[in-house]
Amino acid sequence: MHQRRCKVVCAMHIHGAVNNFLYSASFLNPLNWVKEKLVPSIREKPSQEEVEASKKQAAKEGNRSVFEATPGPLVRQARGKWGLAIPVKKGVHVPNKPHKPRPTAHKYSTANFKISHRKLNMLGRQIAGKPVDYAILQMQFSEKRASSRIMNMLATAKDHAVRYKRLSEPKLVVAESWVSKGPRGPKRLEPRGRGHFGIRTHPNSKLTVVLKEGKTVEEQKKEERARKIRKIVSAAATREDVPIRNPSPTSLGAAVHSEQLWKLAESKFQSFENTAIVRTVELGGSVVHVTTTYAIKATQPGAKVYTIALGLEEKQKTSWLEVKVKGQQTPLDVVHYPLDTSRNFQLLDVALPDVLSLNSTLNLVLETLQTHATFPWPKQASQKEDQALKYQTDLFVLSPYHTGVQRTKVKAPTPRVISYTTPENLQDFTLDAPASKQGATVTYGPYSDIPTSSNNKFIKEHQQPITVHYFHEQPVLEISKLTRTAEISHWGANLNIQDNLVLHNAGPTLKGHFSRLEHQSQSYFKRPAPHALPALTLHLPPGIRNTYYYDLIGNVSTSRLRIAPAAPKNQRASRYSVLELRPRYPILGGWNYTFTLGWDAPLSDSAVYDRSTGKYIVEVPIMTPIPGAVVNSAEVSIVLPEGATGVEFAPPFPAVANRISTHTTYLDSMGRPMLTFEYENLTIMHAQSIFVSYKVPLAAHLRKPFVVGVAFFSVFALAIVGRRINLTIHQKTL
Amino acid sequence: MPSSPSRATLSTHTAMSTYASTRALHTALPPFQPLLPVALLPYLAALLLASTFALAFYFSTLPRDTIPIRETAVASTASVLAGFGVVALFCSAGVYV
Repeated sequence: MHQRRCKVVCAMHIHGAVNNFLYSASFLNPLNWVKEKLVPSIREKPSQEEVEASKKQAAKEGNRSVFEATPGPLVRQARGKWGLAIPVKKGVHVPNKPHKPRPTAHKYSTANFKISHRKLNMLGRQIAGKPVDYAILQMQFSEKRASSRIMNMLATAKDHAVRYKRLSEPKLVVAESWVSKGPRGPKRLEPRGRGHFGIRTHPNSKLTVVLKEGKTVEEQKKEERARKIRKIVSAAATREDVPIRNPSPTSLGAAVHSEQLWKLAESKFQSFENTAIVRTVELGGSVVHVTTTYAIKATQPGAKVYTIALGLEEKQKTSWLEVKVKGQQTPLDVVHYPLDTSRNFQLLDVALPDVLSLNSTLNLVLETLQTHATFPWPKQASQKEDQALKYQTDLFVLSPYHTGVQRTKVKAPTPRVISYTTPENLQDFTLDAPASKQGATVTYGPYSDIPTSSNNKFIKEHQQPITVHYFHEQPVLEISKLTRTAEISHWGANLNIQDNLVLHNAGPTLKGHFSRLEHQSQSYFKRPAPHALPALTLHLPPGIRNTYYYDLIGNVSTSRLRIAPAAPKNQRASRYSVLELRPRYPILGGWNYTFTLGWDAPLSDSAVYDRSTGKYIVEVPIMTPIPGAVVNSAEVSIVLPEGATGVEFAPPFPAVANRISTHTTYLDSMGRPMLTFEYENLTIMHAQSIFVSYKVPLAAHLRKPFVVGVAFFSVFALAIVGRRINLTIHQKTL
Repeated sequence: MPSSPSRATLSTHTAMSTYASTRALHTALPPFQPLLPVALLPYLAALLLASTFALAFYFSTLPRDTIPIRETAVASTASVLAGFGVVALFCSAGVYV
């Protein structure tokens, strides 16, 4: 009976406990109590399910504990990840109480201590408005008596603000600080003169601070900027910051006027019509070749100038542009309009070879090379993974004329195209599928009946970007910087060309470590990683000698050169010297490699002499063409012989900058003129030559041996003088 | 390709024609011929420098006259030969000055 009562008692207290009465250490089981104290057994905490089960059992039996039976007073809204509310279980009583707003400030003060209010306020003014950490630091190194107290008070206030008010610690600022006087302190006697006594009271004061979350520097700057911009109001006839009340028909004239002007300007474009436009985009690594064919028809007689429109982004990516009549070789003259940032496109005027009569047709081909148009996606790839690039362009080819039908074909290098965007909202232009893929070609179109598209309205409504994501099997090559120096020597009849190249693999950056083992096994099993560049083949001019190839560490011997015999000047070189460049390490994605490559070539292969004018003309190629690579920036320097005069140059296309300077090298007394041309975004089509013409009078040519002779003669003159100086110490008298 | 206003049409046009005409001129004219044939340069260097050395030796054996006419004459010929010899030496060594 004893035990049964205890069993009931224990069952009420231990919810769903696995342990039974025999193992419970209680007053009625002293031995077990001792055992528990000596060797405490590990009691398993009852799991949530067991607790729930026992609660349900107790509710069924009618044995609910007082905590389960009565409804709770307040259930706080449980918050999970990111402060989102966890929905409350059914049956739990949640009263609809409005929550207190989150505190924004924390007030804290020192106690009243013996100090003058004026002396304390000096510190108060020092820390007011400052970030709390700055204030603590200042108090730490302050010479004042109250500073240590204030420092401790601030530290405590900061801790309390973070802990209890949950303010953000890095943003805390002493927003306010004031001093208030406490009760008057004890009186003390102070002896004065003539036996009098004054009474001094010891003052009591305390410092109270209010900590708040201040604005970060970025927020302050943003507010300042917004304030300044709000202040700027145009000086136009109509104010921008105030809406026009009762606008008259003429007050809106400004907007109407520009529209009318544009319509007027557009009307000069109305002399052609595009029967068809076909754009072919050949995707590559760093260079993309875009060919657009316009089949045009003249709608007015005497049409001479055809206007082509290019999107702004497309124009920026274009590094080489040529317009030809289909089937012919000579390029047509192109004039670019000045850049107008109010428009999202740029226009070019093409001068047609012949004047077109009414309703006559012509096919124009616009060939462009785009650089930096593709980007690797995913941005990182490990050694074993494939390389994939993305190319983005606009869906429609813009034109200031009406277009009958338009089609864009995007040709990937292999049929492995991962994805391509399917454009939407093209019901006006096509009823079939807007995009389709056959093999390696993705075709967008044909879209019919496109109105004049080179205006902001069409671009906003219909123009959309299309992206093609494709696998690329070759490494994406970029030459970050090419520095070419060409030195002309008349005494040695030699043209030395030296290239400093910084090679960059612009494919996906290497993820993880470079494994040499993996690289070797890939080349052994003939399955090279598409984004690794182990070697590069360069085609150098024929007839070169003394070739050198070194990098930052030293000479690189892991390359093979086969020199082709020199071709006579006027004949096009039938064979090129082939250099299989093998850098010290394979260039993986994101890696750079800097090296210097140079050679000597006979000057008679590149230079000519005009006997009638006494002029020399030399041809210096701008770069060695590397197929599929883009040169981000190039600097070509041509060093002419000493004393060259009448220097003129003819570059194939204008340089970004060019300058003439003086270069001094061996046996120079005057220095040689050096022409430097700077270019950007060069592709294989830019691999042409610069022609420089100059004169070297005989006197300038003989200057070099003359200067050396003078140097030797000075030594001889010194010898002549030196022989006549008597340096003997003792004079012989006899 | 640059963006140039219509006024610059003329200059790009002339630039292109200058390039084309220069290229044509370059193709038509005879190739460059140096003053001294390059194959001879090493031998010339050896000869000139040897004679410079001999003359310098001879210079050192000359008597000291009051007016050093003979000495300056020998010194000047030696310098002239040395000038050409050093230039030829540099070119034959691969430093094309």
